[in-house]
Amino acid sequence: MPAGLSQGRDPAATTESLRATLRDAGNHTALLSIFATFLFTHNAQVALFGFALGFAFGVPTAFLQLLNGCALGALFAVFTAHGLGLELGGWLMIHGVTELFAVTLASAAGFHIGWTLAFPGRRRRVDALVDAGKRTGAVMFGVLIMLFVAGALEGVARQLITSTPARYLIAATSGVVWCAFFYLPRAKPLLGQTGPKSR
Amino acid sequence: MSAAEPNWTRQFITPEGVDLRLEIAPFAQRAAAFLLDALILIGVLLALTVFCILAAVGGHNQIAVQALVVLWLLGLFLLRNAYFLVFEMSPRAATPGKRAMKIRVAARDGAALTATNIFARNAMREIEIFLPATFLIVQHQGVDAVLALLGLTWTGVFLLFPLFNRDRLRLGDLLAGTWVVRAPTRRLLPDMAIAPLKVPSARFYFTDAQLDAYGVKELQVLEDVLRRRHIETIRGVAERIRAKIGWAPGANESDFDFLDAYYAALRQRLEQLMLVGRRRKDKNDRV
Repeated sequence: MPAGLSQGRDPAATTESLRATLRDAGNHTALLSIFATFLFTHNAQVALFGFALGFAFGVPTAFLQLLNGCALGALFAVFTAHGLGLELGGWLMIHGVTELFAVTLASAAGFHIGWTLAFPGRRRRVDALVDAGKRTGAVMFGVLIMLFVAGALEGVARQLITSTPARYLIAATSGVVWCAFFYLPRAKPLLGQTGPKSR
Repeated sequence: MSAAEPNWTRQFITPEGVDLRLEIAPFAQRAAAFLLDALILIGVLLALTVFCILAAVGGHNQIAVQALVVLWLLGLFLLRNAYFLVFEMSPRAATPGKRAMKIRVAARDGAALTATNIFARNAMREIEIFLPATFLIVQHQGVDAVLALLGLTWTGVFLLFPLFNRDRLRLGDLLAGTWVVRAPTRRLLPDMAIAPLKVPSARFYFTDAQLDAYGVKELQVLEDVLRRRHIETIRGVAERIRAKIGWAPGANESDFDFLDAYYAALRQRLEQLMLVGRRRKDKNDRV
């Protein structure tokens, strides 16, 4: 895990100092809008990057996902060792449900492109790629909107709400909202072509 | 392999069955367009940064300073991502750089460009432009030179992709089903009838009988002759017309002035006939 990301949250840290990082800065409320904006623009850029990397047959996208997953796992290992696993979950999930969902979608879009490039099926590779591009382009629009919401949740809501049950409540609500949006049937696609071509 | 000049013209059939004969934009034009856009982006970013710094130094209001930082962060993000998106989604389908190079984006299947097309097209810039740029920058940050060189070679494949296919498609074009074509501005020629009509010359007065010698077809031929300004042709045509309508040339009368005046008068006459519903196709068409 890179030092810039861990910020002292290593196995040698004390339980108190770890707990403090989860409380965050309640007195820095003045900077929340900046923090939220930074998080949104940074995450959106990374998501776009991961999506575009899908073109290299998805390999770098997988690597990027793996790297982030390892960092998350390392964080959990440190905190659970001090009995703070539940609190860390709330700290992460309040925005993570939205953010990780969006990042997963962006990576999936990247994989879709890489997969189509490698195995276009019966169609010409060029035609298959155009279809993949249309579908994933629509997905990435949604990802940007989700990351905007995630940025607001992480930058503002997480800093203001320090109680773990409340954090879990928001996490669960956002999970239900996104799942309803993606899995409830709807009459026609919102944007672009979401289903396979039926021509 | 023969060293023949590659053919840049592509057949492009509209739903009406018209072949538009599109011309693929050469790589040099596209690179120049991108450089222009990059310069514009850097210029705007510098202006935004200077504005934010000056405004932040001047003001002591904490909320205003915050708003400036948010403005700068969002500005950076929008410049990098929305600039190409917004301009290519406009009816011109071209960024300012592309417009300066007289090229534009078009869908390969002839359909309208959609937001998802343009989005997919420009998201690929991340690995075509920004990834190679990253590898160029890390070389100065103590990363192994060999590693950076390998990375640069790898990403160079994405960057130089357009050079290795017939239609000069970059990755984004491939994914979005678009290509970049030349869109030279076409100018209409000036109307031949306007100049003489402004200054009606008393020297050239034609009777209706003289003007009825010809129809629309001859008018068009005459216009062509006047536009070409080929001296021999103009003399020959002027002599033929003078003989046909029985025109006695005045002293120092120039052939071109005569034809110019006759063209204007003939066109006026034919347009007048059209007003009452008569269209004279050519000289054999009875009035």
